Amino acid sequence: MTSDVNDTTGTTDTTAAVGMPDTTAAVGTTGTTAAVGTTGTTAAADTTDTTAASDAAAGGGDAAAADATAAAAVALAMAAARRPGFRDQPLVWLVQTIGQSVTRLTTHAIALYGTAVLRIGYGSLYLIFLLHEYPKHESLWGPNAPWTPALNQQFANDPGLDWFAVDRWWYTFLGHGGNVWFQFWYHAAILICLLMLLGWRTRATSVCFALTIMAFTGRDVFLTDGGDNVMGLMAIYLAFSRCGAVWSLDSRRRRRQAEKRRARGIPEFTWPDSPGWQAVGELDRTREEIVTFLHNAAVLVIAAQACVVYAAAGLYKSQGSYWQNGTALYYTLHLDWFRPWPGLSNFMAGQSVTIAIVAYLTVFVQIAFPFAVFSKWLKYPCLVALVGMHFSIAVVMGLPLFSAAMMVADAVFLPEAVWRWVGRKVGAGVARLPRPGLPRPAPSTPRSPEASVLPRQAQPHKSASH
Amino acid sequence: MSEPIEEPAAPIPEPPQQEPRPQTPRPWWSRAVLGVAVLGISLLAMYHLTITFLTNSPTNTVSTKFATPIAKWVYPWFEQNWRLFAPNPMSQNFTIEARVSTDCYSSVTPWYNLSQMDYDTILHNPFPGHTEQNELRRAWTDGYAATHDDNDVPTSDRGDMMRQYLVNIALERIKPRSAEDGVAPNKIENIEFRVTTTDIAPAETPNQVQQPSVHIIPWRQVSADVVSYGCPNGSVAP
Repeated sequence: MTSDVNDTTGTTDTTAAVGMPDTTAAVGTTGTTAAVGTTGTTAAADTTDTTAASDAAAGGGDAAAADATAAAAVALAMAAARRPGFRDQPLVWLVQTIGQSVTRLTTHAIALYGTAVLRIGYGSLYLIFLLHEYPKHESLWGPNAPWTPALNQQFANDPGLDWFAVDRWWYTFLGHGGNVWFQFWYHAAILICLLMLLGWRTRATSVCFALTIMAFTGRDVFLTDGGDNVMGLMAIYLAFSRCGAVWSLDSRRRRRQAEKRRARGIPEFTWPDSPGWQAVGELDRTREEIVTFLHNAAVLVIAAQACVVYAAAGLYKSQGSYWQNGTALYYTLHLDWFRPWPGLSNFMAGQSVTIAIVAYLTVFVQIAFPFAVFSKWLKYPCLVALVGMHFSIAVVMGLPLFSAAMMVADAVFLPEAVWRWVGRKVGAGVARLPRPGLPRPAPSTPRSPEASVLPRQAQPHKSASH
Repeated sequence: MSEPIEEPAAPIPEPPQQEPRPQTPRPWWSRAVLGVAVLGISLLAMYHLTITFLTNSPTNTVSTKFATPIAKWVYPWFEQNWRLFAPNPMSQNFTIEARVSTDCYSSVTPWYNLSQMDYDTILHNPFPGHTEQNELRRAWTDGYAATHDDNDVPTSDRGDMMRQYLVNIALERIKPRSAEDGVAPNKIENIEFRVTTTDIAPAETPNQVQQPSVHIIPWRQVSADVVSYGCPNGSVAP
């Protein structure tokens, strides 16, 4: 799903060719399309980079103004020409194709905006959750909560601090001390959610954020619902991603440092030209590529997890007689714990034909979703239907957090272009706000100047997940 | 495939100029490290996704055979359950009531409708919290009801924990109210539950009145730690 299917379209040319060049140079790896840019000369020398001839040729045509670039494109094209077709040498072709994909996945982080949206979304949702429960937080998770720390330790089968059961130890973490301990960690959790939302030192913060959600989940599993479940899972996955690469305090800091460097005329950092330092630089580059690959794997897992959620929910429903005869929503709307607006629920429960159609649509869309994400004709209608479904669940059944958590998960399926567009709109809106006393901040998103300091950008027009 | 929303390229600031670095071929160890890492990450992701699939799929030959590794990987951090309102949504509503008494039942409070407290909080509330929406509901359906049979005999070793949880939730809600009904919070020794289950009228006949079924969880001490020093003759549970 996350492979380089999109690469073959070759539409990358202008944007990528313009936008990418320095990003690769900064870290010294040559990606596929980026090779056309300033590092083109080095690209030819990079043996791992026997990449997309079509891209190179197309991009080269556009950027032919630079002689060096054109030469590089020719060199690349020649390298590509040596590549056998599938019919000639299927094995060689296969190995080379895999090699290309690996190169692509180790040099290009996909869905940077998508994961940033997830980070912002889940950070703010859990922040809202903790603040919303603040008046009752002691009776929910405190030392005197109905689910006492003793019950929880017994339930989690917590053997104490044991290296092989450190996860279970963490599950009872919030109940380890008295009230002071609990209050401290509750407020620390609020702070962590805030930092996660803002993207401050995101790698460490996102690990803490995942641990936070798991600590609250584990303190009383019987308080959680699907919303907590999906937030916990996604938080764990986000800790492996580069969710702080854009729209974050981190990216702002990197941008400002780069601007400062540029203003002072300090050249980009390079490792000193001695064998030892070059080895260190090589190690750093390898680390960078591993981290990028880890990010891409995390995006794959996030997308697959969302698909699993929908497919499982849809397939379980399809086995239910009420979903089959179309009365499931009637019963759901009559559950006393999910009727904040009884008048509305009764009215909807009375529309037997409509709710039967909606029930069938829900099951169809949920089951179809894992397949629909591979087709733009199906993906967006499905997403619209799912978002509509979650919105009505939020309002009618009084489950706003659960619904919002699911909607945020859907965000990873929107292409980067959409998020860039949203970012531009938000940035423009923020810039228009009157800000007395403060210097107007640079609009953070639209020009995405992180591109110049961040190693690898996702292609602007690429879908997040496929 | 091109996405429907094609945005023109964002204007990008001029990149800082730098001379292309002379690039040597990657040393073998760098490739090796990268290869091992890529392989390891891929395997880990595939393993996780496989387990995720197996834990969500119906019980089958594979998930039975590998039940132990699956459970070890999934619990507690990757536990997932997406059966909200599936296969069938619940077709019953519960009214959970409780009353408490002093030692030897010298004074007994009236019934407190615990679930109605939840419903009252949820009514016209666009953002209900976990207290009113999950606490009592799950303590009953996933906790007590799931671990006890019809005669209130625990069917699993978690039964006692779930009972204690239900009792603690009830006590938390009753204690602020019981004093004015004659039982001071620190005098509460016994508790009794009454759970009224009402089927939702079938969709075909939505106005049909359903006969509720009443289940009483008999008087028990609120906690195993409570010690009673014997009661005078004639003190029987009401």
